[in-house]
Amino acid sequence: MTTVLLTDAHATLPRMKGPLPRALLWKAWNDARWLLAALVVLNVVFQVIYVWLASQVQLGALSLFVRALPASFEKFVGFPLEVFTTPTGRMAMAYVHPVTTSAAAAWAIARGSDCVSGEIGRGTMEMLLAQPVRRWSVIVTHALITTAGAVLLATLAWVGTWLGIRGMGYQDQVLASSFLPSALNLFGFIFFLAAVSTLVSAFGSDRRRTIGIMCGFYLVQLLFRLVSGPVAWLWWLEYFSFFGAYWPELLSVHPNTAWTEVLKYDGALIGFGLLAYAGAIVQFNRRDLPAPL
Amino acid sequence: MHAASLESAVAPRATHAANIVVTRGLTKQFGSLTALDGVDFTVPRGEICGLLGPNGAGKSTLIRLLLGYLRPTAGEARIDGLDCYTQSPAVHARTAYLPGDARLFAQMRGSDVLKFFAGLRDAGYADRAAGLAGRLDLDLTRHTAAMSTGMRQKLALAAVLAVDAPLLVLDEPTANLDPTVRGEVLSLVREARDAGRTVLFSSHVLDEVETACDRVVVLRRGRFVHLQDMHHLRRQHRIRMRWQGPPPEPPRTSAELLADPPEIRLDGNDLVIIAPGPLAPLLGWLATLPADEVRIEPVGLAAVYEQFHSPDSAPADSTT
Repeated sequence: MTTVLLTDAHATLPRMKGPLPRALLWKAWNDARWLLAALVVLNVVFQVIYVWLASQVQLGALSLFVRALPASFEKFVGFPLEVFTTPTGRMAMAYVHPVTTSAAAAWAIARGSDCVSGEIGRGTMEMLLAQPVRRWSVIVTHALITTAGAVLLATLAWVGTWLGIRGMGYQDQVLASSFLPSALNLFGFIFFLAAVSTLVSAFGSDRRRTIGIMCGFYLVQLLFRLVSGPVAWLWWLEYFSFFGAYWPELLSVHPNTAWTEVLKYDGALIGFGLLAYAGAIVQFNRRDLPAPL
Repeated sequence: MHAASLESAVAPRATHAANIVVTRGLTKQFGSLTALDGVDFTVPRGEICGLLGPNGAGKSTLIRLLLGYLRPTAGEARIDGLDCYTQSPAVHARTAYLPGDARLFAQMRGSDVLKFFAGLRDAGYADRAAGLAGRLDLDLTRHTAAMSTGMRQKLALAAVLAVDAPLLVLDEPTANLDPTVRGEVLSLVREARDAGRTVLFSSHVLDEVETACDRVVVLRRGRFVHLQDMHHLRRQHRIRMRWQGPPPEPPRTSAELLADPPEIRLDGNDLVIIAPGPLAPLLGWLATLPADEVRIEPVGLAAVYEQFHSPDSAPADSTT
């Protein structure tokens, strides 16, 4: 019972692990895996179902009517109506469907908000930062897992589309590869939103507050895009909305320019995302760590 | 006596290298509130140093500054010569910290928590942590979310005490524990000290601090107000007796009593004698006094604490 387990500390001074300890990565993965698994299943199943639903729509002569609608109507709905006139376009609408964007936003905001304000709010940051780890490595390991999850979600969204096309026997009419730029754009969407969530999280101590701020940010950004189309004098708002760099439905129907466009869109999303992560690291490094409530 | 001079008075032999913890003018303000005010503080290696004070006295702020969780408003704190704020990862490699309200990762089992910390520490950590968990009678197969508060505290203790670091910072380590485990924890703290480690021990439980610590620092309103050498305190006794008439003159029967005379005062109908050193030289003199109902008791830390924290106390900073 009274065995001495505490050895002479001066004999072996503990050493710090590398800048990105595997244990931190394991913890971030452990925290994220169930949410990721649920969203992956949702994404794949939804894409398959959506392809099936899209294959049921046969516009026929009505496609001429759709093309004839005035440009102001296009601006009102927020995307070119030509998308509806082709099977590829109709299937690509899955990438802007609320189910897909909500799943993407759920992953990004859930993970980003958890990084700092979540750990502080739960009181676990105390024990975490009492270990010999650098504050920035907490954010970077978290971001690596979040980004890996974003890659998986975007890839499996495309896999869902591919499975749907094959399942419906549409492979002769629709090329699954047309949706790769859309999936890449979806990745940029998640990356940016996760980075901004992490930045907001780095300022906060309450995860619910971070989630609230991010939901507000998302809705305001969506509103910017919605009004920037129909209202001529507010066209510039599109440049202040990250939705202005998210056009997966258009990328699929313009295969000639899709890769150039997606690199432009994702360049902006990933670039601003990296800036947000850098801001989060700076803020987390300089802030006081409050005692848990 | 100002806090700055406490250090030189109590630890005159301690050099900078002999002290594992050194703070100089350490101050922390939160807006208009000064939580810690110009604290100069040293902890010599290999001792258990207690931190005492009521809520809001500045204990937790001091600990959080030492761990680099807070940026000092002024002054500096060093552990093993390293700046606690700018070099905090290196400081944490030399420190094991148990928070006052230790919360662990709810999704993990007890064994996962120890595995996680093992991944951030040295190679022998996992074995030591498992050994300590066994010693604290802890079931590691449970998820921490399903553990009682006491079990979580035990798990946190196993995780912290297994760290092979020269400094242990324990904030309320026995909170939520049953008396048996409390005793075991205090044994572990003493073992750590005996193995050459230094322990900074913050607690509200006076008898634990009295039992475990070598020195005790008393804080009040963000300042150090008293530094108590516990070995000195343990030699002190209070003698209380029924008494009539004026208090007697202190005895001058030996060189010891001449050098360090007892404090004698009247407290109502009682005579109170505080013996600062061994009792033996006083006993012969006591036997000659016309006293009744004589009681002899150790002075104890409670009396020291009350000097500074009873509602009507406002004593100057001091050192004993």
